[in-house]
Amino acid sequence: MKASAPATRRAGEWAAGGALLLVLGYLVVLPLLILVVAAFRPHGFPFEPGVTFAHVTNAFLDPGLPRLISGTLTFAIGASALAVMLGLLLAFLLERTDMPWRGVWRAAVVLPMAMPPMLLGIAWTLLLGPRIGVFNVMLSEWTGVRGPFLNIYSLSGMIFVEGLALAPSAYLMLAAPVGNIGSAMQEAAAMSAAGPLRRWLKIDLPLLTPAIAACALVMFVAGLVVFDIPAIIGVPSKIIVLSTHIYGLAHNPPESLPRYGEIGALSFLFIGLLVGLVALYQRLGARAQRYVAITGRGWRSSPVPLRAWKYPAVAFVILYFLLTVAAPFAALLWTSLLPYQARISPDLIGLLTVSNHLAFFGNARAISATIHSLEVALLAASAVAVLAFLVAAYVNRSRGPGRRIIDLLAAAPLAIPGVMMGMALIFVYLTFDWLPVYGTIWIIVLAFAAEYLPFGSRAMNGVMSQLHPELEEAARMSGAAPSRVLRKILLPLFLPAAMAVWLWVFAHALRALSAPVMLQGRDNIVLSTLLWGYWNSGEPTIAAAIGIWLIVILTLATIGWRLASRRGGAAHV
Amino acid sequence: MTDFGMTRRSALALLSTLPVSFIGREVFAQAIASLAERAASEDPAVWYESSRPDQGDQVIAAFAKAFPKAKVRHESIPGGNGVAARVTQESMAGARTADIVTVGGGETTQLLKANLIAPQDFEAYGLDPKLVFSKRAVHTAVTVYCIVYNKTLVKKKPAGWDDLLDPQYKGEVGTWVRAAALAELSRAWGEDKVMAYYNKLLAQEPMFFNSAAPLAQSVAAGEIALGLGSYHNSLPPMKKGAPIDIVPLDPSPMSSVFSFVASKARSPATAALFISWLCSPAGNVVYEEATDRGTPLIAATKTAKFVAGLPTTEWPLDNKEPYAAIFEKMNRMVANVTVK
Amino acid sequence: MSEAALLSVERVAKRYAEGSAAAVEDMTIDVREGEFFTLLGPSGCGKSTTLRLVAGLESPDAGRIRLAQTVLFDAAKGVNVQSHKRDIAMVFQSYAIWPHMSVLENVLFPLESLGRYGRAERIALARAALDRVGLAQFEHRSSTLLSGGQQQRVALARAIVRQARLVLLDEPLSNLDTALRDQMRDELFVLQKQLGATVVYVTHDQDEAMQLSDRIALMRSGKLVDLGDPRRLYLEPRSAFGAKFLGRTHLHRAKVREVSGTGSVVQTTFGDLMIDGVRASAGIDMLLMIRPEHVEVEPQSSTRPSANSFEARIVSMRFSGRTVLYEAAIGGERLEALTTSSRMFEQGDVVRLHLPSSRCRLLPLEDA
Ligand SMILES: Nc1ncnc2c1ncn2[C@@H]1O[C@H](COP(=O)(O)OP(=O)(O)O)[C@@H](O)[C@H]1O
Ligand SMILES: [Mg+2]
Repeated sequence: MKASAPATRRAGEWAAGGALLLVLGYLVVLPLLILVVAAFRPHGFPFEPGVTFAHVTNAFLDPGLPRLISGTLTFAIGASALAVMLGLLLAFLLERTDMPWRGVWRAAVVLPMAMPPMLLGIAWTLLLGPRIGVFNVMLSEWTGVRGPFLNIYSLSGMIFVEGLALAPSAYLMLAAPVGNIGSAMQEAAAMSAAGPLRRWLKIDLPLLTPAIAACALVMFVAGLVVFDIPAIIGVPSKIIVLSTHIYGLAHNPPESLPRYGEIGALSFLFIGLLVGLVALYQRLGARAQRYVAITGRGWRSSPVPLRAWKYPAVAFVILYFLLTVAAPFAALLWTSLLPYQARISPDLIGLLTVSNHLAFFGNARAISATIHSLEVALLAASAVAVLAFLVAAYVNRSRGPGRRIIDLLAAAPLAIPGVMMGMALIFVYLTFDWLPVYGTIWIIVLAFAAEYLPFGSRAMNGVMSQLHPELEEAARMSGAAPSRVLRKILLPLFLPAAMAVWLWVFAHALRALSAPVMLQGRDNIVLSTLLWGYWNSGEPTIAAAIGIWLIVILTLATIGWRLASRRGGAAHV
Repeated sequence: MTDFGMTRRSALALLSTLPVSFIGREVFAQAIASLAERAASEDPAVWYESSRPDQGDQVIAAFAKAFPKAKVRHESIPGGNGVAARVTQESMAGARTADIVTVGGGETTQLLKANLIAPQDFEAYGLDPKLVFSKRAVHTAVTVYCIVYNKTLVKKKPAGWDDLLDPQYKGEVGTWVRAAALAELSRAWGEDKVMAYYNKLLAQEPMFFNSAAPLAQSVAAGEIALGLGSYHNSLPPMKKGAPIDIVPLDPSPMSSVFSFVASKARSPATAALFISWLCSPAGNVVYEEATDRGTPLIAATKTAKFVAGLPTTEWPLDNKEPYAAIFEKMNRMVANVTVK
Repeated sequence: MSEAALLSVERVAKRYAEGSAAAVEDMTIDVREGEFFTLLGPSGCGKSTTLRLVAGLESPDAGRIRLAQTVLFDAAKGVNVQSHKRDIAMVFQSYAIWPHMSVLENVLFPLESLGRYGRAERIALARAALDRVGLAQFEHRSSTLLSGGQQQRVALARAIVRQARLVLLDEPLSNLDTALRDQMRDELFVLQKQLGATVVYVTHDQDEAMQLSDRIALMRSGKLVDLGDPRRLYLEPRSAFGAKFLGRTHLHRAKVREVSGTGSVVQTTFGDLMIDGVRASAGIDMLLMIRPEHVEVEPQSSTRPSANSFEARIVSMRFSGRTVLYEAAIGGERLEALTTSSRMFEQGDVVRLHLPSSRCRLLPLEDA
C-alpha cells in the first residue's frame, strides 16, 4: 500500500458521511425545524413575519392537555402490551413448540399485515358497533336484552383493534429471538432438572427481556403516533389522542383557520420524546445483541411438546386469524356488496350487489389512484432500501465521522406522527418551490422515505452486524478490489435482506394513510386517501369495495415479502 | 370562430332563465363570450372545493361541454376550513394556489379579511345580483340542517328539535363534530337558548362525525337512531333505498356556501367564467345533480323546492362575527367532552 | 448387558430428517458405576447425538435406554422420560452459562429446580461446588464477565452440584486454549476420581480420551466401531480406522505366510516378520500395523541380527526436544520411528530397526 491510501480512504469516508448527513438532514431535520419555527409565528406559517409565544402557551397551558396526554399514553401502552403479548405467544407457539401445522401458520402469520389498519378499524366498527355490530346483534338476539354488550367506540375498543393491528409486527420482532435462545440455554436448564414452565419463566423470559423491551418500545412509539385507528374509532366517541388532535387542529379547529402554530408547538413534545426513546432503544438493542451473541450449537433445539395443550394452542392461532383477517375481511366484503351501510344479517341478502366493485374498475379516479399508490410504494421502497443500506454500511463498516448521529437521525422518524410529518413537508415544499413536488406523488414519497427509514436501517443494521467483517476481509485478501468485494460478497449477502426491506416498505406505503391524507393534493390521490375520502364523505360501501381491492394488492405484496425475507433470514422488523 | 359561436350559444343558454330583456341578454352574452375567449389562452384554473373527486369531475365535465376551450380542474379538499387553510397557506408562501374557491360563509369572511378574494363584476356576466355579495363572493349552495332518522328504529316520526333530546335515544344520537348548525340557529334563538340546548345535546352522549355524510350512513345502518344531519348529505343513502327519512326543523339552520376568484389566481378569466356558469341556473342544477346541494336562490334547483316555505335561519355574510364567536365556543365545548 | 451397568444404551438409532443418513445407528453401550466413559470419534460421527439421546434432548427412533433401575426410553413400550426428570447432569460444549444470572445463581439453579434442601443448604452446596472448581471468590460475578476457562468451571460446578447419577460432558475442553486445556483436563480427572462420579464424556481428541477414560467407545459414521480400555484400543486396535484415529501409525500390506500357536510369519515388501498372536489363516492379505514409537532404532554396530530386525538408512530426522522422529528407508520402503532424544542419529546414518513382534499387529484390509 502506498502511504496515500489511508488518506484517500479517510477523504472518501468524510465525503460519504457528509453526503449522508446532508440527505438525512434534508429528510428529517429540516421538516422538524420548520415545525419548530412555525410554532413561533403569528398564524403558524413558518415564513410569515413576526414572532409570538401564544401558540406555545396555548398548546401547553391547554387544560385539556394532561387528559390528552394521559389518554394517548393509555392507548399506546394498552395497544403495545396487547400486541407484545399476542406476538410473544405466537412466536413461542410457532417457533418453539410442536404445534400441529406449524409450517402453515408460520407462512400465514403475517397475512394480517395485508389488512390496512384503517380497514381493520372500519371492519371492527362493523363487527363491534354497539347496535349494528354482529356480535352485539347476536348477543341481543340470544339474550333478548337490548345491547350494546361490547362497544368498539371506547378506549378499550381502540386498544383492542390497535393491538391486533400491531401484533404481526410484534411477532416478527420476537420470532427470531424466541426461536434462537432455545438450544443451549434451554437444554442446560433441562439438564438442571428444570421443567418446561420453569425453563420458560427462569431462562427464556429473562433472556428475552431485552428483545421484548425493544419490541414493546417500538410498539409503544407506534401506538403514540398512529392515526388511522384512533381516527376511525376514537373520533366518533370523542376519544382523542395526540395524532387525531393534530389532525383536528389542522382540519377541524374551533375557529375557521387551522391552528398550525399549535401543531408546531406540539412537535416539541414529540421531539423531546424522540430523543429519549431512541436513546433507550439503542441501549436495549445493544443489550439484546450481547445476549444473542452467547448462543450454542447451530441446530435448533427439538420443539417443546404441547401434548394436550395443542388444542387450545391451535384454537388460539385460529382465533388470531379470525380476529385479524377473516372476520374483518368478511365484514368489509359484506359492506362492499351493499348499496348503503347496513348491519350483517341474512335478511339483507336481497340487497347485495357488485355495483361498487364494478364502479371501482370503471372509475378513472380509482385507476389513477391505484397507479399513484403503486408508483409511490415503488419509489419509497427503493429509496428506503438504498438509503438504509448506505446508512447501515456507513455506521457499521466505516470509521468515518458522525456515525452515531447518522444512526440516530435514521431512527428519529419513528417517533414523528405521520400527520405531523405531512404538515411539515407541506411547509417545506410550499416554500421551496424550485423543487416542484408539492401536490405531487413525490411529496408523499419523501414523507414515506423518512417514515420508513427507521425500519429499513434497523433491518439492515441487524444483517450487517451478523455478517462478520472477516467475510469481506477474506475477499480482500483473496485479491478482490473493493468494488468486487461489494459486488461479489456484500451485495449477494444483502440482496435478500434488501429485498425484504423493499417489500415491507412497499406494502406499508400502499396502506399508510396518515402522511398522504395531510399531503393530499391535485395529482397525488392514492388508494388510501381515496378510500378515506369515500368513507368520510358518507360512501362507506364504496370505501369498502376499494378496501377489498387494496387488500388483494397488499396480500400479494405481503406474500412476496415473506418469501424474500425467508431467504434473507434475519431481515425481521 | 365556430368555437366562439358555440360559446355564445352556451352563454345564451346560460342566461335564458334570467328575467332580463332580450337586449340585456345579448349584452351579457357578449361579456361572457369575451371572457371565454380570454380564458381559452389561460392555464387550467384550479378549483378548491370539498366534494369528492368524482363529484367534482362530473361538474367539470358539464362545464367543459359548455365551454370546451376553458380548462378547470377540481381539487377535492376535505372540509371548507381545509380549503381556506390551503388557500391562506399557499398564498402566504407565494406558491401556486387555487383560482376558484368554494367555501362556507365563515371561511369566506376570513378570506375576505385576509384580502385573498379578487373583486369580479359577476353581475356583468349575467348573474342574479341576489347571488353576488360585494362584487366578490357568489352564492353557490346551502347546507340545510335537519333531522335524519332511521325509520325502523324510530317508530314515531320525529317532530323537531326536542326529539334529539329524547332520553330514550341517549347514546344513539349523532351530530357533526363542528357545531355549525347550532351556531346558525343562535341567530333565531339567541346565544343562551342555543347554549342550553347544546349542553343538553352533549348530555345525550352523542356520536360525533367528521361530516354529516357518514352520520347519515350511520343512521341508515342503524348504528344510531337519529341525528342532526343535513339535507344534501342524507339524500344519497335515501336514493339507494336506505330506511331513513329527513324531518325539516323549525327553524331550519342553514349555512351558505360561496364561490369566488382567489386574489392570487393565475387564470382569473377562466375562474370568473366558471363561477358565472356554476352559479347560473344551468350550472347550479348540474352542481346539485352531482353533490345534492344547490342554491335556493335559483328556482330550478331541488334545494329551492325543499327550502321553499321553510322557516330558515342563518347569519348573513356581512354579519358572521357572532356566528364565529358562538361556533368557536361550542367547538371548544365538544373538545372538552369527557373521555369515556 | 452387564448387570453392573449404571447406564445401558441398547440398539439405539436416530435419524434427524426423513431420508437423511442416520446420525446414530444400532448403538449399544453400557457404562458402569463410577466409570469415566468416553465417546470418541471424528467430528460428525454422532457422539453428541448419542449423548443428547441419553440426556433426552433428542428422542431416539428405536432402542432402549436405562439408567440404574429406571427405563428412560423404550421405543417399543413408548416410554420417554423428559430431560428434566432424568437424574442426569450435563456440561455443554458452549457452556451455556445463563447470562442473566450471576455465577452463584447459575450454580444454584439446578438445586432450586429440584426443590431439594433449604435455601441455606443450597447455598452451602453451591459454594462447595464452586470451591471444587476453584471459583469460590467469583460467586457474585456477572456471568457475562467470565473468561472461557471460568465459564467452563461454572458449567462444571453447575453439573456436579446436583449430584446426579450420571454426568454428561460434551467436548468441554474444546473451546479452551492449549495450556488451559491441559490444566482443566487434569482437574477434571482429579475431580471425577474424588467425586466418584459416573461420567460419559464426548471428545474427538484421542489424547484427552486416553488420559481420562476408563473405557472408550470409538465411533464412526454413527456406528460403534470399537469399545475397550485405552490400552487395548491403542495397542490392539481392531481396524485400520481405529489404529489411525488413536495415534500415528504405519500400515503396510502384508501376506500371512504361516500361522503357528505362538504367532505367525507375514511377508512384507521389506522382508518377513514374526508377529505375536494372530488370528488369521495363511495366504490372506492383511495390513501390518506398527506405531513409530514402537520401532526401536539401534546403531548398525550393535548388530544383533535377529528376526524383525532390518538395516535401514536415516532419510530425515525431526527433533522436538523430548523426542526425535526419524524417517528411515529399508530398500524402497519408508518407516517412521519415534525415539527419545537420549541417543541420536544423523541423516545418512545406517541403522538397524527392530520391530518388536509383540507390537506388530495385523488388521483387516480397509474396505474402501
Ligand atoms: N439437530 C440436528 N438436525 C439435523 N442434523 C443433525 C442435528 N444434529 C446433528 N446432526 C447431524 O448428525 C450427524 C451427527 O452429528 P453430531 O452428533 O453432532 O456429531 P459429533 O458430535 O460427533 O460431531 C452429523 O452429520 C450432523 O450433521
Ligand atoms: Mg459434537
